[in-house]
Amino acid sequence: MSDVKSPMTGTIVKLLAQIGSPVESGQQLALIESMKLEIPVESDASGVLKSYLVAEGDFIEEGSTIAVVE
Amino acid sequence: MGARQERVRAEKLRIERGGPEKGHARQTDANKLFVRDRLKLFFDNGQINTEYGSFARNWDSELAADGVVTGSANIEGRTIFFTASDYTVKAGSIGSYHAEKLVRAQEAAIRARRPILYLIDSSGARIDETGGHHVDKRGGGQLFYLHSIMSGSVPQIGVLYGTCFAGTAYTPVFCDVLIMMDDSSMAIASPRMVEMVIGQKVTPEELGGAKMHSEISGSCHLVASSETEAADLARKVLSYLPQSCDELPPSYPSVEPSTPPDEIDDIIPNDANRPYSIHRLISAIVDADSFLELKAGFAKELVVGFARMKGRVVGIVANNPAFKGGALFPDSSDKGAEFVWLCDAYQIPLVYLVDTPGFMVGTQVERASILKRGRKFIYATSSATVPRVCVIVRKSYGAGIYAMSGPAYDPDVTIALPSAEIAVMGPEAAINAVYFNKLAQISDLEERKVATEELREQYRQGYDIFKLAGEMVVDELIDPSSMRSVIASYLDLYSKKMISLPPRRHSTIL
Repeated sequence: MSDVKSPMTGTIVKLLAQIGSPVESGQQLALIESMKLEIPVESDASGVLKSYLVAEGDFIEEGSTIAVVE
Repeated sequence: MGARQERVRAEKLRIERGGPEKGHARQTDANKLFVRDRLKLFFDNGQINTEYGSFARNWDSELAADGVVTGSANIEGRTIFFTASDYTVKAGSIGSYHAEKLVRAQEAAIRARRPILYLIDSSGARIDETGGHHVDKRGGGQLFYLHSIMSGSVPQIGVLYGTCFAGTAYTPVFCDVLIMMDDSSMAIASPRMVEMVIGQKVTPEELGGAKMHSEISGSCHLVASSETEAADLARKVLSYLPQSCDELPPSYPSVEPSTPPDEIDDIIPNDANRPYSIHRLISAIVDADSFLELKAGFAKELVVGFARMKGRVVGIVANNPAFKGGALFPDSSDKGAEFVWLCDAYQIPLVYLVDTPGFMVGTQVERASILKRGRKFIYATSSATVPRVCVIVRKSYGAGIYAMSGPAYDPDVTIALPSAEIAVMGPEAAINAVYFNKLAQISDLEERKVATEELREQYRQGYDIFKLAGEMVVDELIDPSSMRSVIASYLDLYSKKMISLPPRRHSTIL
């Protein structure tokens, strides 16, 4: 099980994968808007996307978990 | 051979064998080299030129050289001083004569105007014989004083082996460049002491391992996975540095870049949201294989390192749009400030590659002193009197460009690529900030969207780089494929630059 953490503080603008779908290491799972830019959130691990812990529009801090891959 | 001569030779041979058998066994078990074998990896022909204090404490057969080898040697034909702990002698602990030898090496380096290399493999102060030595006017207590006054005068390079806690953990952090073996660790107090004093249970790796110091604390510049690699890295680091602040760094023959400069325009996407490899861009402007990135795993949104351009040593300071959009954070501000300061101390010209949305905002960074630490980066750049070239690669929003040696920060030249965008902020944020109320009054959402996009386009035209080049906000707008040759020409033009700052004892910013 691997927690996918936000690399930066900002707002979740888009969740990019379906719960239950296969995920590859390095795959983008979400986009964060921060500092006027869209910052991708990538999975560190390969597996299946178990859950998102955030919704589009949520404010998240750097280092907080946004998804779980197992 | 006479008896006196024979005695000297025999004693010297005994001393060169280091500590007792059990000490050697412990070193071998830890997969570490005996100090005299280690030293051979660093020096030309594996040779020490001069050694002094080798007879220190020769009345005690278990304390060969009092646990440290000190002297001078050549690296790439240039002479340096060195100190190297001998872990086979009481775990490299610092006894009173050991400390005296360290101090004499530092004094020699200052007097002879040559770099000093510290190979640190020591368990710290030799507790059973300190008894106040750590505050003596001379000796162990003086080490960090000398580190401090040497800083910026002669280069200090450290290599850390094994676990080094307390006293020996300060020398590494005073070094201009610290190389840590991947299984080494350093901390202000050992795990045992930490548990005793605050009750925290922690491993040496968690407390101060190479991974922690190279990714979190930012105290380590380079990590080596073998003793040979550590020595090669130390030799490489010294190849970029002069012998002292009085000299220029050595120059080398020019080598063509590993990425053809013609590819630069394709490397940089127009869309400011799209990341790209700043390392690839660097590889298209510097001599092939000459870029030595420092602190690569720490505050990755800013890339710093030594390189050569047409044979001349340069310091590269580059925002990294592939990590956190290239925004400047408190840690990257420290990283940038320290690197700029290091280059300025040793007459290494600076090349800034700007692609940043500015300093990060929000509670996290405010609590981590973004203003105070960002100030440090701006200060270091402002005060650096070496030649400075600022290249606006792509986005340059907000105050980030101040730290990155923008036009108002007295660079010798500001160059822009056609992909450059210089603005207080990006169009989305700017229109939102200025026209929020006006746009909110448009009730039809589609109409509002069209009006927003029109305003954004007008705003974009305001910072069009051709317009800014016309207004001479930048000195020159260049063809990306000429980036290397233009930068190299400016570095050559300003190679004899001499400027003085207004009189002062020193700034009040640290």
